[in-house]
Amino acid sequence: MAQQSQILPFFAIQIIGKRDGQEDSYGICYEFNKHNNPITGCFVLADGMGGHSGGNVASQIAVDSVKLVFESGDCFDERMLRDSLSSANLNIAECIKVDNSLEGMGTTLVVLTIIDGTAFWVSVGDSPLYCLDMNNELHMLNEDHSMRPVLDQLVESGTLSKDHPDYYKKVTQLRSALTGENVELYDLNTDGKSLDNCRFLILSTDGIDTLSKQEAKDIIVANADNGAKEIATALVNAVDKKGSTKQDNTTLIVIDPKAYKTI
Amino acid sequence: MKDELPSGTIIGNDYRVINTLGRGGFGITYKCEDIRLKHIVAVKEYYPEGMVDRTPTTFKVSPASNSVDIFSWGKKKFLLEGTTLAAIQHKYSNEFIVKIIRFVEERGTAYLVMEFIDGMQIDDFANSNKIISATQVEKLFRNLCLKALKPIHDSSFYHRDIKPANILIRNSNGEPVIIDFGAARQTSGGKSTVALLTPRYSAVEQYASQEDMDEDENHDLCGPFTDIYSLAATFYYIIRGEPPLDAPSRLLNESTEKLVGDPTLSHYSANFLMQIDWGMKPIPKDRPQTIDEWLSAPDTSTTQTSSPVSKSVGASTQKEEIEADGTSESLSNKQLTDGSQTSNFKLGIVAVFVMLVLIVTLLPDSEIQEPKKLVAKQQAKTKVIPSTKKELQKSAWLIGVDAVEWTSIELHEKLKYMQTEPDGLFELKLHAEEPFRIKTQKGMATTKADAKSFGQINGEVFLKSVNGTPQKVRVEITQTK
Repeated sequence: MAQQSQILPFFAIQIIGKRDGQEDSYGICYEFNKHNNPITGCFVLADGMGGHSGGNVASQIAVDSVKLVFESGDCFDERMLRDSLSSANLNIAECIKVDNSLEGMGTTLVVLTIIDGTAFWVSVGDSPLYCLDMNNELHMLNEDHSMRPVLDQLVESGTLSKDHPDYYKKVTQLRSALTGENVELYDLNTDGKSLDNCRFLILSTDGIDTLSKQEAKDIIVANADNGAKEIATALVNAVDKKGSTKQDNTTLIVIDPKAYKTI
Repeated sequence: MKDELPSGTIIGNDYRVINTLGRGGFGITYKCEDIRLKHIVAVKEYYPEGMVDRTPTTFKVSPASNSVDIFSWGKKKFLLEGTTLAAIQHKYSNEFIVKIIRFVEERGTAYLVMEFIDGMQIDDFANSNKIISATQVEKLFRNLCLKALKPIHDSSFYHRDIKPANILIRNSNGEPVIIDFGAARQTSGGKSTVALLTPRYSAVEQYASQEDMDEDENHDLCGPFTDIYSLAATFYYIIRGEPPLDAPSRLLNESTEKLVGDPTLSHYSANFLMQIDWGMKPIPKDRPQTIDEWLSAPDTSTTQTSSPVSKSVGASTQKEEIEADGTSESLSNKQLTDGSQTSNFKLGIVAVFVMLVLIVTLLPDSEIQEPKKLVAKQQAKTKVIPSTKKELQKSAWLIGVDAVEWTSIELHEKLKYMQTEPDGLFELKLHAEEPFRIKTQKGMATTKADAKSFGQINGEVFLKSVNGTPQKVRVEITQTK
């Protein structure tokens, strides 16, 4: 079909970095209208954790569970976000029940869906969802469930110094993740955020943190005119170029929301 | 559990295991008999879960190959906890801190022999029908501050794990006693979540600091104010009937909710409520730094009205309403559950009357959570937290429900873990978005999306999805009596 050659308004890319394997997983579902324009999209990203093959298993289960929820529905619906979260967590729990050696595995999860130019999401963990606005400012839309905001508050209050060894030990620890246990802390946005003022949405795992926020922003802005694919590629190239010896898995999904505004 | 010492095992030549009282992530506590003196003791075994294995024949405990160092470091901390506690006991000789009798090293691990406390957890005590007046709650608070925490802090030691489960009220005299110190808790075993803490009662600096075996404790962020937070959070629970949010969330949400000024709590002295509010400030330096400071001066930033703090600390000038020991004996505590009670409980399960409240609702989870409970003002004068008596314990979980096979909700399994009284009444709620079938010993029913039915059942509950596709059902059990 001719439409196959049309540029999809999103692009996903993954690198392993310096890790032994890929523990990030992602998935994308989308629907076309009769003119073959994408009208709705669901983007899933999961950053697995927990020894051996566990991290990989947890993130893949989470992504598969979410895709199943979205694919089995009649239409995209923000209520599916809640289902996605519980389904992913339930399946992780079931999997641990069957194979005890997977105990301790877990994953972050971000599920983003765009309906009529509005973004809805559910997020657990520290995988950021950014919006580059029309003024080229970068905003993180979802909550960060790592210890970072907590530690930063403590730094601000004078309780802790950024040089304190505990800061670096604790900063990446998660306050919430899907581990099959009860998830008490999650960020569910079903009110929706209008994407009228949004140039690009960037979903990422925390491997992107190798770049400072300013560096990431500069790269995104410099490539913004060339579309989602160029932004995503430039970002992972920049991460690679940093040459960190401990570079974590990095996964990026860059979405151009304009396509979803005009049905 | 297969890895617990069986009854009859002798520890340290003197103590015969009767049964297991409880276990946590770092140890197993047994009820034992001193075979020479013929009295009951509690013995805590250092047994960090996931780090060790036990040889089935000799019961020897050995760490996994990658945990050897951290195991022996933790063991050292465990014994240090025992000797420190014993030293504090020796110096202050009071009944408010659990007595350490001796410690034993054998089977590759370590054991702390402690006095066995016949009592119940402070939250169960507060929720029971035994009492309790606001004056008594305030007295418990002051006694815990002055007679338990202050001696500990004066010895340059912090408890680090104050929570309702670690404060028992003795059946004999109604006085509180602190048990189960958390010194050896925060090992660096966890990789990337902060799950080792007791979320609702741990201070934020405990989330932010990590005790490592290869470091000294010079940059420990914790201090007396850490235990102060936990004790304040414990009393918040007793006063409100529900635990506070975890400290990081309270910090980030800039929680400004205060107990003082709440008209439903007017039976407490404003001073006491201010103390609890002050102790629960998320930032350590905003809290009182010592027990003396906490008790002597109300935090001026939250001061509204103040009435003088009663000076009758521990002097029992108030008339208490605690009943005599005999009637209290049947009331177990979660930490130290007697074996006979457990087996009674198992028998009790068979006959347990389960109040089934079936609510199939389209409400999202956040809307089906329990509404905040308020204390009725007329009751508040004489009784503390009457609203929580109806909900002693709650457990909720999600199950996947098949469309072909019946799925058990494993009610018995859950009830066992809730460790409630054998003849307790329970309320069961099931939430789902689609209709499902329910089968009990009484029969079978199909629920509709808007169905609401009530009934009583015996035994297990099975569910099956009706629309041909599996679904999730949220199960919630609440003990109502």
